[in-house]
Amino acid sequence: MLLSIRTLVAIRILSFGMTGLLLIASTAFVLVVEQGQLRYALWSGAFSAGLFIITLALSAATDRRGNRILWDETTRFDYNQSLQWAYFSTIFIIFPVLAVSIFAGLDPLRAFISAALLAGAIQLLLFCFLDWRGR
Amino acid sequence: MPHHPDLENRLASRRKAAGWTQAELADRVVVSRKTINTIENGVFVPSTVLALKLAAAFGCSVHDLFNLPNEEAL
Repeated sequence: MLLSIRTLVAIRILSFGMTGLLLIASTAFVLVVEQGQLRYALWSGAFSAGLFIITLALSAATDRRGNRILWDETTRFDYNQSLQWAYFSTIFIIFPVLAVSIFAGLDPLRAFISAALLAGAIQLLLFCFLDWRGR
Repeated sequence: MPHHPDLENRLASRRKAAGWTQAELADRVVVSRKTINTIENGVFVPSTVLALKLAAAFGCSVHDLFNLPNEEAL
């Protein structure tokens, strides 16, 4: 075991939180910058890929027993709960707000990209919070 | 969902009687200390498999650790 479970969990919480914040920043960037710079939203894909690699690295940094502790049933429950909350907040809050914004003049392309980024950001930040809580 | 307000559990008292910390019990059943902590506080209800592992760790039945009040009436 290269790193302790405690350290691996701390890295997981930090990486999910940081990626969530980066997606929030990407959303702000998409909403604020000029139309021609929307391609920079693709950076969010790089952030997500980075999180995927970190998650794989966390599992690789410990043995089978460590992985059972690292991804135990409380963690899986927290993850599923974050997915659930992100789904409902996207449906009931983000989509209606962006729909109204589109009718008020917001470019639909920006609105759709923002919705996708925000949905991801909410899930990552919620998991970061739920994973941290109670430790 | 894992939270069940009616579920009574005696995990904390059993653990203390055995002289184990939450971390020691977590190590025995291969879960995180958070899982033990949240079960003891009634925040999280364990799966059947984990309940059986906890019972095996204490050498008792699952009913000695968890029960629903007025089970006969259910």
